[in-house]
Amino acid sequence: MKRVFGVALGILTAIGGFVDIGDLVANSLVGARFGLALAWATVLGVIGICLFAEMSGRVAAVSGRATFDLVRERLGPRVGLANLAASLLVTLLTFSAEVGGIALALELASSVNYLLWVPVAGLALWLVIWRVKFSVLENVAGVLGLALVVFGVALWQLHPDWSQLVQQAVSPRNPPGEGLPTYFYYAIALFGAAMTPYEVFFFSSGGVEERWSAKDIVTSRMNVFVGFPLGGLLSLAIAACAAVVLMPRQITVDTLGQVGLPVAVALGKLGLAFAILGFVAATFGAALETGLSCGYSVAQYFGWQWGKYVRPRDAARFQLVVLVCLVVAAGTVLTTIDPITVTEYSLVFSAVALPLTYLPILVIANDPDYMGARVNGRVANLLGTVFLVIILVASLAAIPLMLATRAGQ
Amino acid sequence: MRWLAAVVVVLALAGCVGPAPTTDQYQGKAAHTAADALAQLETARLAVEHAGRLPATYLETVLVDAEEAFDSIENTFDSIEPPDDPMADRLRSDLDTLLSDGSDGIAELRIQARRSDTAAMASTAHDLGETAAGLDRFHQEHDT
Amino acid sequence: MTTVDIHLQLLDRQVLDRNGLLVCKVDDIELHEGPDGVPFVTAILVGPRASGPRLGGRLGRWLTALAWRLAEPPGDAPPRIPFGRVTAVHSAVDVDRTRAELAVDPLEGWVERHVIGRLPGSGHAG
Repeated sequence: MKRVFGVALGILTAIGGFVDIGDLVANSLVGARFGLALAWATVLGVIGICLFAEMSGRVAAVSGRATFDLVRERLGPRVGLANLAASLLVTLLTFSAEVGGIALALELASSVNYLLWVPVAGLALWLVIWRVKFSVLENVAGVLGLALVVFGVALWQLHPDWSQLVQQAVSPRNPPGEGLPTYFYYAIALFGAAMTPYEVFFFSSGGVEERWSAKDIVTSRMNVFVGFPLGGLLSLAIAACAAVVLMPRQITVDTLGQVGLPVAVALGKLGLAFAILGFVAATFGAALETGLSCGYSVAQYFGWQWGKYVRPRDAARFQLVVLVCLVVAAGTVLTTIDPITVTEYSLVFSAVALPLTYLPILVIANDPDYMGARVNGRVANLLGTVFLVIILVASLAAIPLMLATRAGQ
Repeated sequence: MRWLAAVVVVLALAGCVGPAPTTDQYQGKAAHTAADALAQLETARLAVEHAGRLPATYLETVLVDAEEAFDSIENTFDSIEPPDDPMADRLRSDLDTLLSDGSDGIAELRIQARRSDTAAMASTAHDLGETAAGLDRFHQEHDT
Repeated sequence: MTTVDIHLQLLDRQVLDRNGLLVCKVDDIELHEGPDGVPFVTAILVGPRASGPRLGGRLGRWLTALAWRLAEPPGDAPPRIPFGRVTAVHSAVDVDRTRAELAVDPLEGWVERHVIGRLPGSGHAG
């Protein structure tokens, strides 16, 4: 019974924890502009992250080591350092976006300017990282993030033309008036939003934090193969709500407030309360993940003790890195740069950094030295290779498309 | 190193005062402005139409954001030097009328929302329907 | 006697102490020539003075020079763990001393004493 509860909790956490500020903004923005014509990009991203999260969870469970830990061994110190630098920059940018997201969500709940919420959010984040147990932190943020299911309920309540929505999703043509470069630019943004680079490093580090062993592989797989796709469904619901409510009014999304409007239209104040709770939980949870990931990747490259499973003073440099990154992230938001803009840039640069993250995982998951008999099977390798090609294409096309479309104008 | 500094200065200045666009380019920018402004105006109107279903804090934040964005769009358009052409001048004056109506309207909505004056909000939002339609027409006509 | 491929199975691997805590990476190794002319591993070398040269290129040279400048305590060799301390080589390298006894990483201790240790609650695991 306890085991069933554990598995269920893991799945719920995975669903609620899937969406972050990037998913909220990208899906709503694309839904308002393209309808569901880019749903395929989200679906592709979800399949990709399931594939690689499973591998990275398996690596943690079998070898007892986190994935980034092994990157330096397999790629060498020089390539590993380049990987660290790039991953850290992108994760830090994403961290800033999440902190901004928390502040924006709290502004919607209180009318207090978002900048004033930044120090509060920063302090709260640090206190949670400092004192709250890892599994508690993960599960609470994840379960509260389930409040975003309200988007699915809202969609139902809006009585949309389902056949039209399905039609849009299934025959993905770019709408008239939108150029092909813009179409693919947003496809990459959605793909990057689903396949966030930090997620796989966090997932495997989390496996080590929770002391996974080979018998936890099944649980890990259930979290990934059930939880993540359902989380992806939430992303699609957000896009569909925007398509049904915002698109007919020609509203383009550039604030978090607009993301939540369809829920208010469908369900009123109660629905919106859930949406705001979901926004806060999703961004807070993702901020914890990105902040910890900054610490994980630096400590795992240099071999320092890391993790919340030891006392902070036993992992002093890890804690210091997390604290410094938190200050930098909060500082970035306090420069009054629009958090939504930061989010959009973080998605593009995440897409660029994808190969750095995923190629090492594929290599390590095939290494019998770490994995023993649990190396990748043929199916995993075939899919992994296919996705690596897709990731490379997305990564190479991201910046040129951003420049060509002037970030999607 | 000094030549590098000179290049940077020249580029910075070039960014500040762009050359006057051609009439076609200006028309494109105007159409784009109209679309962006319409999006902000419709956001405000949609929120006000459902004011009863939004908590006051949420409504206020949405309106304040829409007002700021709308004003920014208006200022950006006004700062573009129109080409020396009567058609461009007409474009400018037509759009400016719509933009100033929209800007005043959203500001009024924001004030009425703070006072929780639902009747006035509904009436203003209804009147702004004309401005919205005007912006939409403008965009359709001049979209290159 | 099992053979260990130094490049694949030893270099850059995580070193664990007697209690399973993470100590450092195998930043480099120290080799000596045996009486029969065959080189063998005598120690694990730790820190930027050891890993800097392996980074290669201009960056590696610059980092190594910086590390030697800032070396604490100053000496003529990077911190080392004698290879006799190694008990096992698997997905990590196990060593039979505690982190404190090995004392290869003074910076961690410094950060702990002067920064993290000063914050309330640092003695409790989350």
